[in-house]
Amino acid sequence: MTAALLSLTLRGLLNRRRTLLLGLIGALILLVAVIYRLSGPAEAEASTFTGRLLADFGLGVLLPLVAVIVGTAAIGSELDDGTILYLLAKPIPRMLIVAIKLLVAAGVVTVLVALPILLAGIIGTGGSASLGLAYAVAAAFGALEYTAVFLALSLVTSRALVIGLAYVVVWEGVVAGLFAGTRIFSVRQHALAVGDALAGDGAVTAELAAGSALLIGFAVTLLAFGLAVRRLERVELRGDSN
Amino acid sequence: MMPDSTGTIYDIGYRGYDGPRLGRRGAIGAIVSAGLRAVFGLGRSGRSKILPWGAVVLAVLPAGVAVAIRVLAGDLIDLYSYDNYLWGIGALMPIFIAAQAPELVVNDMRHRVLPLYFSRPISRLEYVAAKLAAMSLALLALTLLPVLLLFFGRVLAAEDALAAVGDEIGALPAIIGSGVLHAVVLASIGLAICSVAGRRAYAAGAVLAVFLVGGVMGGTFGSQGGGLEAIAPFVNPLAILDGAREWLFGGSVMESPVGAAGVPMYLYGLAVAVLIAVSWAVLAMRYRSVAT
Repeated sequence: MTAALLSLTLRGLLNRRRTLLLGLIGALILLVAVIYRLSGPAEAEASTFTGRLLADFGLGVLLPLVAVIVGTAAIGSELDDGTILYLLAKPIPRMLIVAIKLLVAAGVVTVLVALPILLAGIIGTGGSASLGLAYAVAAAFGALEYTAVFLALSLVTSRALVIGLAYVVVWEGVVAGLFAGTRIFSVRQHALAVGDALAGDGAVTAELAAGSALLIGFAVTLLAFGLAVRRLERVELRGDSN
Repeated sequence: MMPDSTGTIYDIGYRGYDGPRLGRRGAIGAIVSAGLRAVFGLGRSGRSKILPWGAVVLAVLPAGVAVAIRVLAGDLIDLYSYDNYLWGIGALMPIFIAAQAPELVVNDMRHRVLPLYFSRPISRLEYVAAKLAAMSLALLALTLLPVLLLFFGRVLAAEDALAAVGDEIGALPAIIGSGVLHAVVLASIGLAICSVAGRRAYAAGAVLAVFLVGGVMGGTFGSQGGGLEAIAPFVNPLAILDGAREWLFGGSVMESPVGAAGVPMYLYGLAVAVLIAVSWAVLAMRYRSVAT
């Protein structure tokens, strides 16, 4: 049953057009790294530039965009077209459904984001994998937290994608830039803190300590997971399914 | 032989229309005004007014603050000039477009009502042009209104208002020109992206993705020496627009990557032309293939 659920979710998430588009954004970060390499940079600056690229583009744009689309689609698309009914009619604990959907979605996000980040890190620094690896791990951590939040959101509202995008752009982009105190509630800052700690003397200094970022990150993930399970236990079918 | 007729024909009042016929111009005008109402959420619930009006308020706010400071403190500090204002509020424009441009194009396509439009005496291109006009006019609320407010504020805050008009009037063509330029180009890009998306949420995501990716890529390139800052403005639509504004009207913006790029200014004009051409080609092709 679990295996069936796994492959079902995976197939639902990896429809061709969406995966292609998301892969394209991931390819952009590689393109930037390649262009940078071709411009013949000074080696002393390479790790600063690559660090900024991975932090600003990788963790700041690529990760939230992919996570909001995949995370809200993991259960949301089945809710929208009504096929969640067939899943809920089976004797599977709702918690298991959420757990599997979350893990698969987070895995998909991680592959789509961490892989380009790792490769861009290697290309940008000219062969050293440590910087790319640090931010790839940070991306995997961010992917889990983002996906959990957006998956829970898709069970709370039918406009999860729009609200998720608004959170990414307005809250993490604008508000967290202006008001430093709101940064503890920004997933991007959590991921940045982890990446910064792993990268050592990274180019981007995170605003949060890695320990508290990890702690808050996992707490948020658990909270979102619990909320999602609770919502799925009391789900009301909606939309034009009949 | 006919059977005896027992039915009665009732006159239920159907009649022909002999009022004025507004023709194509009326139809286009109706699409434009309906589009404007849709963008600003007029005639809709309060929830759909929050985003557009919030964006307009946030766009106007800096002008109000700048004028207030000028009134209270004189011209000690100039927070905003006419040149850097649009760059300063640039973050609002993608949000406004992402939220409101899908209103204009996605629903008509998704609910398959386009055949109803095209059965009226308007062509497909006229429909697209009307939608573009509506979005451009709506965007003027962000790209022109605040700068005009700044202009009038500066004139009225001066000791001698009439002399101030003389001082400031020279900036007016640049204000209007760059406002219209920003509005038309951004509307074209926004509608072109939305027209290829199947659902409103995806359209909003695609618009935000283009501007986010462009902005961050431009920032990354621009932060680095070694020739890359020359291409930095050209991956960000807002930076291209700022370059074109500077090419046409002068006045450089410190924060924008245009200054550091150091490429000939006419290239920005060229880039804007390419942006418009590509957007309009996408729109034309998209609507040519809509099934009626």
